[in-house]
Amino acid sequence: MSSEKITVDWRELMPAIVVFVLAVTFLLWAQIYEGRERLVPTLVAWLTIGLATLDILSCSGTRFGQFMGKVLSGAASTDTDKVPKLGGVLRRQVIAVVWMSGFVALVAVVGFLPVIPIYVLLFMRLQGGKPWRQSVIAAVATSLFVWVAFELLLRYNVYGGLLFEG
Amino acid sequence: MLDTFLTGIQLLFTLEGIFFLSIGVIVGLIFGAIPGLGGTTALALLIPLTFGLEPYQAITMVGGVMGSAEFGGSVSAILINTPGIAPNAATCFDGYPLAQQGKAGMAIGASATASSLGGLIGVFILIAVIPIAKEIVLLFGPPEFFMLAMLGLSAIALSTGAAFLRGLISAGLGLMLAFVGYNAISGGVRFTLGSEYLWDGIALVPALTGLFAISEMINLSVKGGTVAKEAGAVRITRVFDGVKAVFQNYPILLRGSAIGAFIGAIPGVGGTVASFLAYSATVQVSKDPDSFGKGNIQGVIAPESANNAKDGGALIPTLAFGIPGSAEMAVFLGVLILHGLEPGPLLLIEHEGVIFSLILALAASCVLASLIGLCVARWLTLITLVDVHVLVPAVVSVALVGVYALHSNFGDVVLALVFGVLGYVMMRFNYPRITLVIAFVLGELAERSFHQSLAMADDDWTVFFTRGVSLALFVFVIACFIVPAIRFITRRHRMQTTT
Repeated sequence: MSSEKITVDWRELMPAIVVFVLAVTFLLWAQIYEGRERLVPTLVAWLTIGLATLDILSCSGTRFGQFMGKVLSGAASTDTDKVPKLGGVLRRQVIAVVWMSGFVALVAVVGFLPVIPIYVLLFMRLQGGKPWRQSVIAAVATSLFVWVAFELLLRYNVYGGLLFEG
Repeated sequence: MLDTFLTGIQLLFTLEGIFFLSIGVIVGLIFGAIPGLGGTTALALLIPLTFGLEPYQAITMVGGVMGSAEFGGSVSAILINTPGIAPNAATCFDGYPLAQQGKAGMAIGASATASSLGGLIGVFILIAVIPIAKEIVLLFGPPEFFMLAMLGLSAIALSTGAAFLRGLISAGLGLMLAFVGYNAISGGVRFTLGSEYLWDGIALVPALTGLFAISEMINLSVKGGTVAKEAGAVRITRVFDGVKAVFQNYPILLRGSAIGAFIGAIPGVGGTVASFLAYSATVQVSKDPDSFGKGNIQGVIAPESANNAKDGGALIPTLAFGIPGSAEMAVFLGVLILHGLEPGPLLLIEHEGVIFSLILALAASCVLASLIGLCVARWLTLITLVDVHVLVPAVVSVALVGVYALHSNFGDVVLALVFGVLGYVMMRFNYPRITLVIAFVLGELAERSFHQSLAMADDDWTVFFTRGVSLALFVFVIACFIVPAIRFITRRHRMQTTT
């Protein structure tokens, strides 16, 4: 009997489980379509389920999992080293996404042109701690660029928001 | 033919000709660099302006736009990881890492040179192939399209770097995303969650903007600092290092251009597939495939040369048969018809002079755009030194307005945000985005041509192996898997014998 302690890297395991669930959902979803329509999606879903299973096993911390990790996953892809690891930066990650989601949500309501200067100004002041003068200049410059390039020169009707466009 | 060629040169190199060419080039560069716009939008907006112009003037201006938009798009791809137009997405893979290493000037120099030379090679191929264009285009049916898509997908295995398993999983996700919307088999819609917005499938430009630009902006917000990790390393001398690198890597330039012109000539495939195939082919034959995605200059040269060369190829079916191979060519067709030039075999006989004006304008615009690019690269590279807290809100604002402007649909903005978060999560958890994008771009083509092939052959799957071109492409697919494996085994054997 081996007394090997099995350690599970939950942070790595979670996305693998999410992918597995997504692939299974996709597989079930594909079955509502008829023959030819579901043929290729079903095939792709099965392949992804198989791959996600291997991924889950490679995160499991067992001897087999470690072997799979060495053979199939490797240490880092081309993208990984650009992103800081989870932990201390989680708060910053959430804040970054909230800033962008907030921007899009506000645009949905009142449109791009009123929101852009506010977003640029607040982001630079609150997130970047930039001086007022620099923040105002950047906010005005960005808004002016969008207005001149899209509204004035290209004659695009930049989105005006639910409030003004109905 | 020589007389017509000389007439074309005379028309182009007049004060008027250079003026209209310059307008086209500048408009193309600006539209190309702003995410979501691109050459097609520029052409569509220029149509009314060409009403009062002579045909050759209009064609010169249009040629200027077509030859420069791709290079414009590569600049934003390199500097801020935001592909100006979809085909520039392949340039992000190595262009942006180079910018992060303080070599943005080198990447822009390589992109400018590869774009102009690729464009010129594409034009030469166009001139050479026009007499036999029909035969070439007719060689491609559904089985060949399917094998072409397989060739692109086979590159996935090599584009994953060390994260092989998660690269394949990303590809699976990319294929699933490609199945959303109308399907060519029954005409019904699939996987749309009841949303009308998804009937046309997941829009490529918002998805790419999200995966590259928005996700990178999230990443920069988290990290802080500047794009260039080594701020002191951004020097103007790097621009000419990039120019030099293109000549040093001339086989990659030639291969990329040939792939671009070839793919461009096939209606319905387009520049995105061309640049990805050129990138994949370069990774496949490279002696150091692991260096791709980390700032290998060859990863900029291949897609950019293909991207510009495809215009020459795309003009073959457009001019010879009136079949536009892409949205850009469809708009261009409109310009031709507007000026009384009916596309088809007769066009080449009756309006030879105008056609040569176009060909020369296309060639000249590629060179002019690159020269402008090289001149302004010094200032462009400074973007990589701007504090991210200034850069992020500006890029997010312009990128999302550009995404909206494409179809005037707010759903595209939401989609870009969703893909932005997805892209960041993928970066964080080591799922390569490259493979997702390749699979997403090629998935629809692969499925459609697969079913079309079986339908035309009464479900006989041997149809993929009984046609010459299809079989040849299949051999290439197999080679894609075998050659790197053999190389790996040989390298390992060599290492073992030396130790």
